[in-house]
Amino acid sequence: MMRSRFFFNSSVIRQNLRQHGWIGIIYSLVLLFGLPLQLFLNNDPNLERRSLDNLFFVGGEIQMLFSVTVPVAAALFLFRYLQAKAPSDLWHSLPLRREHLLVSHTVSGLILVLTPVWLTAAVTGMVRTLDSNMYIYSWADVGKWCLTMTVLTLFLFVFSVFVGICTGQSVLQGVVIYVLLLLPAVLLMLVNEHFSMYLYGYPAWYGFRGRNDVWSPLLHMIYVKTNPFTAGYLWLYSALSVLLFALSFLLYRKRNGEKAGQAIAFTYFNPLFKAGVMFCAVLISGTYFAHLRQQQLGWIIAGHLIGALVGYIAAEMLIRKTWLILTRKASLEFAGYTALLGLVLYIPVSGITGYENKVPAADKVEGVFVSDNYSTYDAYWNNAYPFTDKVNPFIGDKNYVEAVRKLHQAMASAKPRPQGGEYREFYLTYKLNNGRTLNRSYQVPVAGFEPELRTVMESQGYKNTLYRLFQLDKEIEGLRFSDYNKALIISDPQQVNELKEILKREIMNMSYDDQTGGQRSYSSIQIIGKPDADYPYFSDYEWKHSFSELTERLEQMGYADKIRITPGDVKSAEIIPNEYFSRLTGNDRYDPERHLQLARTEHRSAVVQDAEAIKDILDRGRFYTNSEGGYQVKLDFKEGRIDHVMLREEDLTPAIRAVLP
Amino acid sequence: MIEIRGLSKSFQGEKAVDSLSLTVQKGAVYGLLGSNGAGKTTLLKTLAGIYRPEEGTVTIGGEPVFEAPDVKRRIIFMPDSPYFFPQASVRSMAAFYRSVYPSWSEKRFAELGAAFKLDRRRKLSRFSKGMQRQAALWLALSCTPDVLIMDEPIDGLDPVMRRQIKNLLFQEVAERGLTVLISSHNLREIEDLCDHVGIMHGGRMLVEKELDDLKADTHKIQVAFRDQRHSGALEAKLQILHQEQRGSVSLYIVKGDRERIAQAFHVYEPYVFDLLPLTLEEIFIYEMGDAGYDAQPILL
Repeated sequence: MMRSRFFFNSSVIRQNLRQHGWIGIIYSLVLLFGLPLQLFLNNDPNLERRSLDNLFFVGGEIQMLFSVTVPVAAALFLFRYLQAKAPSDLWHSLPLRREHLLVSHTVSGLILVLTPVWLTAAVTGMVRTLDSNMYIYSWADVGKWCLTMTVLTLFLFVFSVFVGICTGQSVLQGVVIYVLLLLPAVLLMLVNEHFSMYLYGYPAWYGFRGRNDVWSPLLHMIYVKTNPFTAGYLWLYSALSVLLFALSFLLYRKRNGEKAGQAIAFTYFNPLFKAGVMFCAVLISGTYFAHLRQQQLGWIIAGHLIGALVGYIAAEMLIRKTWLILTRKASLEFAGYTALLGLVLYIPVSGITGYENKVPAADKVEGVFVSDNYSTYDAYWNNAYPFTDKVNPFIGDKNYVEAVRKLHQAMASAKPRPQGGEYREFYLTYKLNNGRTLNRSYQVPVAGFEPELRTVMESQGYKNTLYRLFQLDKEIEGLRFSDYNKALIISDPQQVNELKEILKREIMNMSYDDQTGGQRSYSSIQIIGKPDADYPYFSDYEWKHSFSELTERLEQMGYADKIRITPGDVKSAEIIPNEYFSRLTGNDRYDPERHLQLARTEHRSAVVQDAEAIKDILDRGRFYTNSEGGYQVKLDFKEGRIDHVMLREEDLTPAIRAVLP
Repeated sequence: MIEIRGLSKSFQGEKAVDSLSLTVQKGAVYGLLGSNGAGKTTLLKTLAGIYRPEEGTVTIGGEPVFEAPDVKRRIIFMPDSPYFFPQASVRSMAAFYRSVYPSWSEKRFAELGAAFKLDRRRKLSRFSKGMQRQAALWLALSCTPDVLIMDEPIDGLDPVMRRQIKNLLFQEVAERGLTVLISSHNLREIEDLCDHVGIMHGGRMLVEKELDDLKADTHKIQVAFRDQRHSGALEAKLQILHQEQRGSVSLYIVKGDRERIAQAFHVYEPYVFDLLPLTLEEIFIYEMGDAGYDAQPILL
C-alpha cells in the first residue's frame, strides 16, 4: 500500500531492470570510454598537462553521440509495451493504475540512464589526481559536467516518453522524437528564408545566424564543445522535463489501450500533425522552387502546392496506415488545409502588416546602428562571443538618425531589387524609445540612391560604427603596418599616439567617393593591444591612398617606403584599355590575362618602366572590377608576384598619359 | 458477479461492441461464442480493464473495472496467444505475478507444478505453443483469481490438454467458486465446459442461454406416422421449432417437457418413434433460425 501511494511499484522496476539492464551497461561503458578514458589517451608523452574547465572538450563528440541516442533508445524499449498489442494487454490487465505504470517505467528508465552518468562523473573525479591524467580540472568542473549530462539525459528521456504516449508505433515514436528535437531550428530557418524572400527589407541575419543551434536541443548537444549549456538552458530543460512529465501523466490517463499499433494515439492531434507536416513541406518545397526558378510567380505557387500535396499525402498515409487515401473527403480536407496554410504564409508577407513600408518616426528613435556587417551589433547582444567588446552600437545623433531614416524611406518606397550594377549592403537597426528594436537589411543600388547614401556614409556616426573608431581611443601597444612581404611595427608611444590621431582624422574626413571608389590601400594597419588588455579582438584599418596627411607624416618619419611598395619594387607595368570584357566569352571575361592577350594582338598594350608613371599607378590604382571603362594595368613585381589594378579617367596623371598605348 | 450493461466500444468509427448487456453469476462457466470479428475479444478486454468502456458500465462484484486495481487484483485475463516477458521463465514470471497479485498462492503454484510438469527454469519463449498455454494457465490459477477470462483458450489444443484444462477449471469452480468466461468461435470445443452460453454477432448478443435448461427443454424426434393427418393434429398441441420430411420419416425439433412430448406422440401409435437429445450446435442453429438469423456464418 505504501508503495502504491508513491506511484511506483518495485516489482515493475525490478522486471524492467532485468529486461533492459543492458542499456545501462552499454551506456556506462561508452561514457567511461567517452570521458575518463579520453583523459589518459594521448600520443605525446612529453606534452604538458592542460588545464580544462569544460569537460566536454575531452571527447565531447563521443559523449554526445551516445547521450543523444541512449536515453531515446531507453525510452523506446521501456515504453515498447505501449506500442505493441501483446505486452500492452498484459501490462494493462495487471492490477496497477496507469499512473503506477508510467511512474514505474520512468523511474526504471532513469535508473538505467542516470546511473551511468553519475558513475562516469564519480570515476572522472577520482582519477583527477592521477599522474598520467593529461588534464587539470576541479571537482566543480566534474559537477558541472554531471549536472549538464543529468539534465539533458533527463530531458531527452522524458521527452521521448511523452512522444511515446502520443504515438502508437515505436518506429514512428523514434522518428517523431528526432524530428521534434530538430524542428525548432529547421522551422526557424525555413520561416526566416520565407520572410527574407518575400518581405522586402527583412534582415535574414537578425538574431538567427549567430546561434541557430540553441533552438534545437539536438544541435545544441552536438555543438556542446563550442556552445556549452548555461545555467539558463539547464533550468529551461529541467522545467520542460517537469512539464512534459506532467503532460505524459495526464495524457496517459486518457490514452486508449487499443491505440497500440496506430500512428497517433490521440485523434485530436491528427489535425495538428497534418498541418505541421504540411507546413514544413510547403516551406521546403516553396523555397526550393523559388530558388530553382529565380522567383517566378508561377513556379513559386506550384512549388508551394506540391509541398502541400506531398505533406498532406504523407501525413494522411501515416495516420491511416495505408497508401489508398484518395476519397472525396480527403480532397476537401486537403483544400481546406491548403487554404489555411496559404493564409498563414501569405498574411505575414502581405501588405497588411505594413512591415515593408514602416519607417519609425524620428522622435521615437533613441539611436540607430548602420553597417555593412552586423558584427558590432551582434557582439553587443550575443553572449556567445565573450571576447568582443560590449560597446553600445547605437548612435543617437539627430542628424545621423535623420540621414538613416531618409535612406530607409527611399528604399521602402522604391523597393529596388538588385539587378547588376553596383550596390551596397546595409543593415539598419533602430533602438526605439519603447525599448524595442526595429531591424532591416537592404541592398542599396548606388545608382539612384547616391544622395541618401552620401549623407549616411559621410556621417560621423556611420564611420564610428563601421570603422569601430572607439578602438583607437584605447591605450595600445603599437601599430603593425603590413603589405605582402613588407611589414613594420611602430611601438614608440609618442609616434603611435600621433598616428592614431591622424588615422582617426583621416577616417572622419573620408568622402563618399573615397569609401566607394574601389580605392586601394598602401598597407593594412593592425592594432596591437596591451598584453593584459581584456579586449584582444581588434579590427584592422587601412592606409588608404586618399589618406594624404598620414602618407605625409609616414614619409616624414621615414617609414613610408619601408611599408608600401615603391616603383623600385616593380619590374614593369603593362597598360591596356579596359574594353575587352564584352568581346570575350565565358570564363575568359574574368581572366585579366585574356584581356591582355587580346590587347597585345591588337597592339593596344604598352609596357611601362618609367619610375614616375609607375609611382602614379601605385598611388592611384583601384581594385580590379569587371565593369568596362578606363584602363587595366598589370604590375609585374621583382619578387615574382603579379597584380592587376584599374585606372579611371580621373586617375590619369601626365606621367601616365605619356605612356598610354 | 459480472455485470455488463449497455456496453459500446468502437474502433475508428466501427462498433466492435454495440450496447451489449451480460450477466454472469458467481461460479458459472460462461462460454462466449461468435464468429471472427463478432466482438468477443473486445468484450473480454473491456471486462479485463484493458479497454475503457465508451458507453455503459462494466462491473465485477458491483465495482467498475477500468483503472481499479482493487477489482483487477481478482481478475486474470489470458489472451488468445500467451505473452510473457522476453527471456522470462516460469520461475521469473511467477516472481513477477507474486509481487503484483496479493492473492498469489505459493501452495497452489507448487500443487499445479506437479500437474503441469513443465521446466520452471527454461525460457518460456522456447516452449511450444501448447506448453506456453499450460504455463499461462498455471500462472493464472496460482494467482487464485475470482474471475478468469480466457480468450480462445482451447483453439488448436490436443484432446488431452483440453481435458486437463477442463478438469482444472471444474476443480476451481467447485472448490473456490471461480467464475470463468471463455470465448471461442467453435461451439463444439466448449460444449462440455460451459453451463451458460452466449452468442455474439456484429457486436451484439444474439442469444443467451443456460445449457442444462436448453438441453432438457429441446428435443429431436424422428417419427413415422400411421397417417399423415396425425402430423397436422400434433402441430396444434406442441411447440415445434423445426419440421422436416425425409421420405416417410418426419423430423421434429420440439420444445417442451420430455414426458409430455412422448405422451403426445404415443397417442397416435407411430410406426417409429425416437426421442433424441440435441447437440448444442443443433439447439443454436434452430434457436437462431427462430430469431431470424442464418446460423451458418455465425457458428462453425
